[in-house]
Amino acid sequence: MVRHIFFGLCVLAQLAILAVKPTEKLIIRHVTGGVITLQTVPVDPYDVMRGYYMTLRYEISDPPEFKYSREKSGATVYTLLKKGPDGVWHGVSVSDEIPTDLEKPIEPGGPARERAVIRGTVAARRSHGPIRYGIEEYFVPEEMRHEIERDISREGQRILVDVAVDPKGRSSILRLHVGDKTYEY
Amino acid sequence: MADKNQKFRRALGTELQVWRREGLVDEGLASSLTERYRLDKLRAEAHGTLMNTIFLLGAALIGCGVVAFVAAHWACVPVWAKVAMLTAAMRAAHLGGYWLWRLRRPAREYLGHALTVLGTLIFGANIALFAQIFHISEEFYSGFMWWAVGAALAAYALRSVPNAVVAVVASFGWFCGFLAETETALLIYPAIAVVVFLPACYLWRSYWLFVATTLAATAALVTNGMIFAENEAGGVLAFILPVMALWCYGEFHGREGRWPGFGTVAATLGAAGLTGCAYFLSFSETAGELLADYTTRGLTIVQGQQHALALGMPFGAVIILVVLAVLGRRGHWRRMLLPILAGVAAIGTVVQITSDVWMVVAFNVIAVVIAGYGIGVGAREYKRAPYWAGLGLIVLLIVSRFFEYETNLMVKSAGFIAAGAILIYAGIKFENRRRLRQAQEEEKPNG
Repeated sequence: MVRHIFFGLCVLAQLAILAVKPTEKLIIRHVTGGVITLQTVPVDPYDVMRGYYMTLRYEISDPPEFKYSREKSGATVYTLLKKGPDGVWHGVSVSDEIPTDLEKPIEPGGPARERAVIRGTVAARRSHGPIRYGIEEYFVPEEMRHEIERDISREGQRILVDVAVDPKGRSSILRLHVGDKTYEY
Repeated sequence: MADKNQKFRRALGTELQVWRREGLVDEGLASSLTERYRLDKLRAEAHGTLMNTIFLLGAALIGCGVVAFVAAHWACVPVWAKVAMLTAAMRAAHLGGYWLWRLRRPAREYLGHALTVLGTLIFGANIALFAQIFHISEEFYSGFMWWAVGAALAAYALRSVPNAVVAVVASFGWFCGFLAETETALLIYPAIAVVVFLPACYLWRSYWLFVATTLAATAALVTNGMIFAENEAGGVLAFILPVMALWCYGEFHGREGRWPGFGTVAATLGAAGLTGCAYFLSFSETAGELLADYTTRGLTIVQGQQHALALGMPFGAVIILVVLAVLGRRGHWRRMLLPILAGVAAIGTVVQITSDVWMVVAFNVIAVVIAGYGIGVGAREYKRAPYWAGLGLIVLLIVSRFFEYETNLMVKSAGFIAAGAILIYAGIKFENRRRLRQAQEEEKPNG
């Protein structure tokens, strides 16, 4: 009997391990988060896809005021964001402390108010972008790879990413806009 | 009922018919043997095995078809359905395997065990697939860490060696991934590997789990030390200390008792590591490079706190083993003297000697001493492995030195002839003594 219980707990623990991160992402998307739009560029425009993943780098990945050093690697930082006139959000400042005076989104899963914060981690290598927010990869199904690659390689295409961020700065990537097309998987 | 495998029972069944015909066994004995080994069930069991195989093959083909169909339509499958399918596959493998295992019938027990391992492998794949479905962009090595946690839980819940080996491999993937991504060492990993997996090796008396655990922990100790070393001498120290600790552990353990293979494997791996290091540094070129690097990049061997910690772990392990051995008055403690002396001599050579000639001499002497020890143990205990390993090392050292240094062809010729003659003479002598000893031992019970 003890063995049955122990084995049952083991399977439950494995299911719990699988559930933790997706649950957090779903809560951010549908309950606690507000939507912001970030400007992005692929890391390498001539090699957009890494297997089935699109590797993204944001304007806020390398803020000019942030001084990178390897000693800071792994440290948590908070980037304060403000909505621009074109609807795209831009980084205002980077700090070690989370701002406490942020407004909650108007409705769960709806757009964020005028200011938002996103939590990042100082990367181990500068080549990855000094700050990583956990939204640097977007999975694309195999049949859509070539279409997205074609769209991105067209000159002058603006690539935007919708991201849900909660008041604690946790984020979840929602969808990708390339020119006038939207990709959501 | 004697638990014999099917192959033996089939052979016995065939032989029994012949013995019966030839009158070697009477009907009473034949029926007793038939009953004891369930020989009358052989035909039914063979049919059952065939049906099981057909069923499994068919199920595997249908499974492949379903997987291919789902993969082809993966993009159209709603998220909830993807999650349901992936977790159902994992639970089905685990629970089905557990149920079959609990039936305690040999063939089904193996199948059940295999299915639980499949469940753990699906769990690992699910971590990656869930990250894909929910766009979780984290460092890939954390996925290995969680896989190792799940696999270790399954291993302990089921007392399953294959699940534990999966856990060791996944945890080592975590260590390597962390190293590759961050270019820094995971100092805590060797301790975790030892604390989590070593008890399982002893509880389940698993030789292969012990091999996997010691390899993972030693490789991590060596890598950790080398990562933080800023000169080659510090790196050599980072290599010597863990292999010395491993060899000491093997000698502390001994070759007898409840876990006879463990001491042998730890001592062999440790001795091979220390010998390899001594052999590598017995070349004048490598010793010269080490010395040049050491003197140009500074005389400090231990670079910072993390390097000290990485070196301190195996050093601490050696101290603990020595204290335990002496306090416990275990018979094997004298055998720990050689790895300690060889290790200390190697470390002393790296740290103290500032002449490449003396460094080369010292490492050659260390290698010869280790080889002599192997020959001695082999000759005393009539064991082939240490004897031939020691003899092979002596020959390798002689050949290497003759190739390394420009010498007269006549001298080279004499050296090779002498090495060959020593090898043949010592080999024949040892094999003869061993054969004689075996013959004496075989005679003992009769005489």
